[in-house]
Amino acid sequence: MSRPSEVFILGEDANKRQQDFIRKYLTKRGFNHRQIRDLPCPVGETAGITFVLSNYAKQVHNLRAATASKGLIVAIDADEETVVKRKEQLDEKLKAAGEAARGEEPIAIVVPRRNIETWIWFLDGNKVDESTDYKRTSVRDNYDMADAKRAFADFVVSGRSPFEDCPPSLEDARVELLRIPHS
Amino acid sequence: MITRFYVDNYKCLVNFEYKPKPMELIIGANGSGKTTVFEALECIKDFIVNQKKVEEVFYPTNLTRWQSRERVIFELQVSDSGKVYDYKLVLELIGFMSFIVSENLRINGKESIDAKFKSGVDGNGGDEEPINFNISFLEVSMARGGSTDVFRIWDGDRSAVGHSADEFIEALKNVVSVKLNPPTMLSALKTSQRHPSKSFANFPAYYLHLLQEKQSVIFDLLPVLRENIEGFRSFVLEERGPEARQLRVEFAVEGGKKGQTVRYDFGELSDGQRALIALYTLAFCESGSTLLIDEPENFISLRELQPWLMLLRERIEDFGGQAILISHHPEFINVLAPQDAIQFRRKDGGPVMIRPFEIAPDVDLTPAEIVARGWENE
Repeated sequence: MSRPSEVFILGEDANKRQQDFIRKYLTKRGFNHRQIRDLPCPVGETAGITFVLSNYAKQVHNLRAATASKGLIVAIDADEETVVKRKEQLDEKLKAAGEAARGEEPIAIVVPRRNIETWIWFLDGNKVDESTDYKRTSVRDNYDMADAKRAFADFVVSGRSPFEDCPPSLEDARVELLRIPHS
Repeated sequence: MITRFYVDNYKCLVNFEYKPKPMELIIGANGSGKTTVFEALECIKDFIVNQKKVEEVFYPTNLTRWQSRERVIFELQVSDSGKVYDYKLVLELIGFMSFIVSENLRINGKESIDAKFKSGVDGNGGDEEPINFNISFLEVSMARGGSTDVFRIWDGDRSAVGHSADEFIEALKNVVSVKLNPPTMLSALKTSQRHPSKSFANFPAYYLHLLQEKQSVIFDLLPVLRENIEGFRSFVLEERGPEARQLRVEFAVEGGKKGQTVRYDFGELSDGQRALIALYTLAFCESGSTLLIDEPENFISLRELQPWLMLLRERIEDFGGQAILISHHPEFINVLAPQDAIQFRRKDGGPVMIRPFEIAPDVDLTPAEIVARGWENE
């Protein structure tokens, strides 16, 4: 029998940047690609956020029901919201679905603010703020993310930010990702 | 890595230009010309690397049917080991004849090989003069290090570039085109082979090459195969007579003693197991190459597709190289579209056109569902 997937990534990014960052971290933590599964997300300008919010409760349910599951990682850009607000939105979805609130379980909620491009620009050595949309100015469609992904994985494992003034949302994501147990 | 491929007047490719990325998925309806692009690249490689005669590779039936022209143009740009190679081949396919009009290679825009077809008694046959195939040759001008040598190749139906450009030939050897056919992947081998064949029927011979020349890659590959192929333990090459050998595969025994294994001939494995072994081997052992893989999902179970694809992508990111995949499978489409996917289209059986994978902003569907509905680029 084929060995099952163990960690699931529920991301909203049609370009898979969020998912790629998380996958890079997981492989650095010892997971192989077989243990990780990206859940297919829709494309469209707002489709991803709606998709994550509307699928979150179902995926939490699946995590709690399946013995093989070791973790669920949710990735959703803050956009013009805050990290706290996005987590509250997700909490509300659980409540509405009749699922118990997130406890100490291996459920990580990663909320890049303003979006994943903020982190990419920072991890490539640039000063950032969390309100500028770097997707429209600096980190365009074919931007090479390889170095930023490595820096992200190193940061989450070591806790040492590669540059000063680490965006608070990135610090928060590190704490969240450490909820997922080692492979 | 292939950075540009231009084809004119070959099958359904008319004034066709393709600039592939390091990792790209080609999607498109049946008959949209996806496989034709791979075929054209294979023909160029065969013509140059294997020094096949022009008429053995390119046929008058390859001409675009709805065009009345007899001239075919191929342009290929390849970057490899810090050099950029620009290659151009012009052919004429007339009646039952195929011949080279000109062939040209530039390396980093400088050093060059120019070959032109000449015919006639004095070899000065111009455009106005009737072609005399009894007295024809390629006049080759080779510019290198500030000087130019001019010479004739009387065997004028073979590639002059393939005759003279060793580095470019090596770069082309790193273009590996595969459409797996597991039933042909058997166990017996006699000698090693450095490159996978189109169907990868030579897997055992290729494995022997890896064992002889790239042992460290094998050491890295085996744990990955153990992770991804249930029960897989190792490969074993068994002697079968003075020259022949047999590739066998060791599998763990379910419920057996610790370390207990059983051996199967490679050819005894299921089609899916052989295909999966081949795909992981390609991803691992052809790092740095350009892989052209036509429908890698064939024979493979759904569970196996995303892990392999992600490993392939990681290898390209970490070690360079290129992978251009043709696939209709939702798993591949959902992972690689829209950002790493392009769409081939033909309108009313006309020439192939390339379009980015674009969708209306208010659509709320996965990329695979968009393709299933035929809504991409609507």
